[in-house]
Amino acid sequence: MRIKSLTVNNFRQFVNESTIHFASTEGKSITVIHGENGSGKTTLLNAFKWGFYGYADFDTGEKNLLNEHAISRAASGAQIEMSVEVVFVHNACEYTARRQQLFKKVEGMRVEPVGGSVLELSWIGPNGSYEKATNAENYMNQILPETMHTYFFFNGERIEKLATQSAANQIRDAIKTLMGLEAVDRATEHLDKYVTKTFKKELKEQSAGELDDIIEEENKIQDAITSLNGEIKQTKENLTSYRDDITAIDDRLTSIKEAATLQEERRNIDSRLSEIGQALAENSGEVLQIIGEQGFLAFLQEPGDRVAKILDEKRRKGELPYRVKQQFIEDLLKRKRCLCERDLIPGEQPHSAVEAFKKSTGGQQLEEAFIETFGELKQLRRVRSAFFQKLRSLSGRKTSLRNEREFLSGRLDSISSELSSSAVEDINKLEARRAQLEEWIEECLREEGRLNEKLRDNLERQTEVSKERKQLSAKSKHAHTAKQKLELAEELARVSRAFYEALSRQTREKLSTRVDKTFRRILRKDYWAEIDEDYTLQVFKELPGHGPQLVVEKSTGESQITSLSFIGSIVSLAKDREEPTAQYFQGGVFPIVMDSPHGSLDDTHKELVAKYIPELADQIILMASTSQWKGPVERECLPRVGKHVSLIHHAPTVKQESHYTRGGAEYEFTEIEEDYNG
Amino acid sequence: MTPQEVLDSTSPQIRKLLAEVIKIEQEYQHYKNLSSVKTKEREVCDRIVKLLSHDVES
Repeated sequence: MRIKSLTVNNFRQFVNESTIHFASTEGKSITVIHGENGSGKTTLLNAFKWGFYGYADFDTGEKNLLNEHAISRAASGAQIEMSVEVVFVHNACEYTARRQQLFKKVEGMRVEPVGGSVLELSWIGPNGSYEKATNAENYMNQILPETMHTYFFFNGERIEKLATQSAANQIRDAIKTLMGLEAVDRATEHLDKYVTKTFKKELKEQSAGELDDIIEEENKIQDAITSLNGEIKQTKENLTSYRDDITAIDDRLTSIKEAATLQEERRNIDSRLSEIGQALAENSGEVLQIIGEQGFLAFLQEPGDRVAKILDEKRRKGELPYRVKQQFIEDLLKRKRCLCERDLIPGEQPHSAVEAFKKSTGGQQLEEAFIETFGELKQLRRVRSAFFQKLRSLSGRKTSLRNEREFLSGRLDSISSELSSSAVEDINKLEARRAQLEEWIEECLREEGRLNEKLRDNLERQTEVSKERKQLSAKSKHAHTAKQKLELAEELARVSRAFYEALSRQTREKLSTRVDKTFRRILRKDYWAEIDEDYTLQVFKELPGHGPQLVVEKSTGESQITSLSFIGSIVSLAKDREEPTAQYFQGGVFPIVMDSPHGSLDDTHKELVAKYIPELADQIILMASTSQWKGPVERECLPRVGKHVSLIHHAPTVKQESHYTRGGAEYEFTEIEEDYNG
Repeated sequence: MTPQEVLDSTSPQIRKLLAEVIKIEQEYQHYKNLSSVKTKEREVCDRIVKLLSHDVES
């Protein structure tokens, strides 16, 4: 999507029709909309939202969208038109999205809407053909999903939520829809649910008896799996929603003076409990690993002692060598003199005695094996002792963590009781609601576990039944073709599923790498970002002696940078079509439209955001007041600006006239000027 | 496995059919919730059934 123009008609400050044409030339793709507070920057951002999806997001709500002057000059009973038109290019087609709302003037400044707003979406194809969508609202949603729109058309001060766990579903959907993976996902679902079912029915019609029953059962199992997957999805959505509600309640409690301290303590405890959970999981992992690798040592004490005893006895009996090297005896015989200074002359008794002793030392190999075995037995005792010591240490750590968890859980309970019995009614109600939500979360988690277990059982049964059906259908000659079709559909579904999973994984990993790269370039701290397997955008830091640690509490600025990195990266990845599998990708070019994007950032971060984010997107529309634009943002963006647009605010009287604020007008309105006055 | 490895590990027939199935799905991508428009979803599935039947019978 590359936006060519925006036309607003009687929309808020804009009386009659006003049009802005946007820059999108390579290297000069930034359009800056300059305007002071109240001149209509946020109105223009909302015009995109209202135009595409039929609602706006003003602090004052959605009332008063219609321009006041348009109302005042209309006669009673007359109809007034308000509209927004966006012309954009997407996938080689030029689209025109036009939403219109009619109003009827009642009397004075009172108007009533005539029906709802209507969106018309038409486009001119690459070959010049004209087409019009019959399902304009949904069609628009597929080009740019409503849930994702806020991340491409955003108020810089409100985007930090993307960097929270509850945004995982949105991130997953963004990857799926914007990267065009949906077609592969739907293909898998259709092959699984409908196509194989159709061929099974065909096979059933060609067969009889046992095969009928087995196909019937297989269909029932498939239906149960589909239904269970739906229930699991719903449960997960409920969980996300409950957790979001709890976050909102926590924020509210933090803002109430009487509850702030307790809430802060609860937040810290929650964070610590999450660390403890992770540490306990790691502890269990270590115990399992050490038992897997060295568990056998626990059973080796007695056999080891027994072997040592047997060896010792055999040595004493002369069946095994003493700890005397055979070489030493041979040297005595060669020198012909014993240790006791007697001569060792062959044929005489002392020589024969030493010769016999040489035999009792055994062969060279036996001697070495004996010495080695004795050494190993000693080593075994040391390793065994170290093994038990490590186990005791892990067990001690586990007990300590569990005790801390017990203590903190008790404290959480006390905090909840204290808040529930607060004299402030608001706190009381919020805490009661929070407790209810916690209970629902527990129920959801139990339900999820139960459903997953059922799903596992059904999947196992499905494998068995499918095997039986394949054996039975192989017997039927008449069903041969139907069988071939079914097998083809099943194989295609399997490959499609594997392909979708591989594509999703690859896209997530590539996006994660790109987010991290952008994040590291912008943030001064030595943090890094990644999108984990649950599609949560996480930020980590290295804690000396403890390795990577999750950064739970991010500042607003850090959260905004994390979110901006994600947005920039998804926009940049969507336009990549270099992969060999790119033919399956929809992808495409998406703009970034930002209102006050550098709100909570300091000068250095403003400069880095202004420098790197525009590198990722093919088109940037930046709305800024003079103070937001001047300085680092202007310095970094100016070489890439293709167009400046100024919003001139006219009013009957103004406190101080400037280029952007002018007095003497008959009524209040904003005029669009294609220039910049500096 | 990478997406390319998944494709490489299967037969040319499956690769060709998968590309055609996805192409059909892409034609209906502008439907946000295809499963709620039963006639359209049936249309997609029937086209896939026809594609596979033709491949086996020809």
